[in-house]
Amino acid sequence: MGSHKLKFLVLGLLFAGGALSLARAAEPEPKQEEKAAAKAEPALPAPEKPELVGPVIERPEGFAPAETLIDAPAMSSRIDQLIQSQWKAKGVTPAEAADDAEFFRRLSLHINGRIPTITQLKDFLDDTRADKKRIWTEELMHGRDNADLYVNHLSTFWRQLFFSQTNNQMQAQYAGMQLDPWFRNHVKNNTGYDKVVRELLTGQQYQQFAQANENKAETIAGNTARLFLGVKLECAQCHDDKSGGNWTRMQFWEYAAFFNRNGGTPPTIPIPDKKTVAQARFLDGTSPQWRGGANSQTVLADWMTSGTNPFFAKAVVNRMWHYFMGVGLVDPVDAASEENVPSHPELLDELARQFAAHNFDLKYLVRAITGTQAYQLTSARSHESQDDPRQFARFNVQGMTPEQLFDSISEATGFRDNNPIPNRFNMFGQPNTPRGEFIAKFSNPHDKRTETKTSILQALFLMNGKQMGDWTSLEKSKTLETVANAAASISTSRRIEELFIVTLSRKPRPAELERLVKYVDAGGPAKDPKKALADVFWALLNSGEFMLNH
Amino acid sequence: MFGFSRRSEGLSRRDWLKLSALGVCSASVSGWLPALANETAQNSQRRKSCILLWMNGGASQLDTFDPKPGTPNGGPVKVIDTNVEGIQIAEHFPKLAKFMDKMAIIRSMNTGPGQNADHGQETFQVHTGYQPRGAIQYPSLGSLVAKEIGTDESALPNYVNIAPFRQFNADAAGAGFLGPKYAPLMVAETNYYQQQNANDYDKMLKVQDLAPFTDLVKERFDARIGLLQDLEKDFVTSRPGVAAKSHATAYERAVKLMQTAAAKAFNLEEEDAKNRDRYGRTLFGQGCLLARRLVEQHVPFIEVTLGQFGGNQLGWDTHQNNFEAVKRLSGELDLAWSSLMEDLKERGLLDSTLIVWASEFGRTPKITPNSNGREHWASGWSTVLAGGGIKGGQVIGNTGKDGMKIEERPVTAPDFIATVVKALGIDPKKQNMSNVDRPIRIADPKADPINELIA
Repeated sequence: MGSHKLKFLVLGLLFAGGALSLARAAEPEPKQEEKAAAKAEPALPAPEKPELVGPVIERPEGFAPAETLIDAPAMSSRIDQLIQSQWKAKGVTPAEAADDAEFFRRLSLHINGRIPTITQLKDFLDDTRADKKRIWTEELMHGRDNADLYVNHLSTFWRQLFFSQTNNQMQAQYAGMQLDPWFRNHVKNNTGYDKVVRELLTGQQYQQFAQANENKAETIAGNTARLFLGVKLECAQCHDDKSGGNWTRMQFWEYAAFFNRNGGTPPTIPIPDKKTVAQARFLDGTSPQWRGGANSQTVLADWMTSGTNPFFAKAVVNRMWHYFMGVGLVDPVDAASEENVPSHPELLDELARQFAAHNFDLKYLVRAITGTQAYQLTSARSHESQDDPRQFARFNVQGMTPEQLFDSISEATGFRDNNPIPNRFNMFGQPNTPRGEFIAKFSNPHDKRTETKTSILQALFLMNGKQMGDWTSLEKSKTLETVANAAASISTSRRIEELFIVTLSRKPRPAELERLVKYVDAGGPAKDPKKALADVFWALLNSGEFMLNH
Repeated sequence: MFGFSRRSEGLSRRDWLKLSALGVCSASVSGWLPALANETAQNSQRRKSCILLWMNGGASQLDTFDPKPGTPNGGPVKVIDTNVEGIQIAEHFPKLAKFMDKMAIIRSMNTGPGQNADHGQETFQVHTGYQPRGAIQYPSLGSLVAKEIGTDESALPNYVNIAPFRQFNADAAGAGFLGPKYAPLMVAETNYYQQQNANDYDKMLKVQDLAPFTDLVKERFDARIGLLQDLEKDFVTSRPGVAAKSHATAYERAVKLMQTAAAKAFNLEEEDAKNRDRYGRTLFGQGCLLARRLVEQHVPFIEVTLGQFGGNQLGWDTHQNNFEAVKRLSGELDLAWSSLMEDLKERGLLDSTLIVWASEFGRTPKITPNSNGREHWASGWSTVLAGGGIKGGQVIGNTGKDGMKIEERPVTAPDFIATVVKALGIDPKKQNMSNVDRPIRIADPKADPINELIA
């Protein structure tokens, strides 16, 4: 964690007015040999092998991994082509490209979970290589200062996702926490997504997953269908789904039968209030061929994570698209149905086929999506045709997760949480670190990313809360201290610029600068330029521009 | 050097107007914190208020307002007479029984699939009158009432949610397509993690962080808000959308709340100690007292949740030991609710305040033998409407001898929502524009309000 020290060093350099060549060689070297990484498999028990040969799965029509591999940059171009053809058809005038600073802030939030350090922002802006966006995407995933951040952020993302919507949150939190190292290992090794899910359903980890789902076959069924297949099945638990899902109640229970521990072979499950039982069958209507002793979850996992599963690859591609672009190609993401169809069906299909052909490599998706022009558009609106978020004609403004916000504030203010325990909660499920308390206060798990809502209480907390008091204190905020106490020869405008860059990752606009220089030079109501700088810093940290990813 | 955006430098006059409409620029930079006059003094034409008492987890109708004494399904609970002849309720409510003439019981709630009802889905449905499905973000009752009865000028939020438990369905309490302006202020939110604070009600019911940092003089806070506003208006203009707007709105409302004397409503210690005692010194009891204080400040909609029992947030979800849990929770409810009615009456506010008692569903009439519990039950359960706008002293619908079947006047969730809003003088057929650019009525067009219940 040398980045903090480095940052203040840079601040010093800036103030000294020296050349901005940085301590670290600004030549990020992507270490993207996932295959090498994959060899270093985590020290985890291998998933159980089914004792007998699994079922013969009928090949569902219409989906298979792509036969010709297209690399990520080419895929980005293909995606843009498909998006642009809809713009043309619908008369959409897209926004202009984001400038480098806007892009880099966005990318850092997405793959490192916090705003960029000013060191790296500088490096990026000074980089003159034509393909620097791609180079830095690799740096943020693999670089010395960033690889851990990537693992932290993405493993939290997957853990929270897999252990989110369950009735027993307490249990789910606890079970999820137990699996934290498991998630981290897989993100670190970039394990294929098919293998991760397979292991979750068939390995030791299943115990925690089942526990989080109350050990009930029907709850596990609803959640696995939603998470891994992108379909909302749970309505069909009680009645044929008339809300556009078109799943029958029988289909729900046939699927749930796979999770019935005492269901026999082939597994069955009684349908509540009926005198019949349902026998395990896949959601695409095919049936496994059972042999004695076959483990039903293994049988299901084989079908689910196979390259030809019509739901699996699309569901995760759509989820990652939603994560980066703010809105899914199918949206809501967990409820694909005849009524909820993709905005760009070809795009979803092609990207899913490539993803499957690339061995379900999640980093392939990161590269393909963030490499598009669509991802790299500004979020500023310049034409009314950009208002439909599903056209991706300007970047969709997204709320931050509580973790992103806290870590960004920490980065901007120089706050260090000395508590070594990364956990949010203690044994009793209570938040026990400043970060944990903050996260509990800002947890809005059910908001759509593009519609994150700030509550009155959150606003009050950020304006007046004790933590913000420390973050914006001339004595306790390292950033503010450095800026305010820098040599007298440093101009006011330079100081204000620093505060903007460290919070908003951009320079102030001329009008802003003029206004604020006047304010600070006059010292604000306190008649003290240092306190006036604290006022500016406070306003920057409380602004929507700081608190949103845009 | 640093690249920076060249867009959106300076605001056009039209942008300014737009921003004013959003409320971003509604206050001048100087004087953000003049205390507003306390406006309770004169209120010749009092607007109506609604208090929703929410029984989290699903309260058993058989052991509260639809008892079946002397039947196997009725269990051990005895009944008592009320001040209305012919209406009996469970013995747990001796104080409320004296207010029966102001209360109307609906015994035929029919909102879902019998025993298969799901907490999340039904919490949403009973709060909004709609099924949670598709892209439409239905607003909660609180937000609907806040929009119809509340005013933009009010310094307190028009919808306050006390001790909500949002883990069943976070959207059930939200403003949905009505937008952040009608979102609730939530205090004392409970969840699975914070059980140890149950008796810390004074602190929980306060709005935290309502005052600026102690070392910050008023002028400096005002100046900071001024700086913030400049940043906000640029951002909201260049990046319009829910997230940016919600941020600006929350800050605007938070500052309003800081500047109003009406926020004193949250200072329960100002209340007479005896009056505090009569509500019961519990989170729910004091929450009801807070609700009364907010009604005095013209807050149109307040929801208070009761559900905590022995460290369990889902006290009413009585799959086990139904009778003990219901008895304990009912005792707390009887005390707080009857005191609320009494207090409102003493202050001349009962006729303008509608009190609604509801859960996401009821419990199975059949007692599960092994656990002595009752399961979920959405076809034939009870809600109560009381106070202003209601023809009290009556019972709507019935569930037969054993509670197993609705024999008269089934009431759906849309019927229920339509009845509540109509009792508040709101037209349930009124339309609001939704997030899918389609107008949506306050209550589903098929809703049939219980007109005989409305005064």
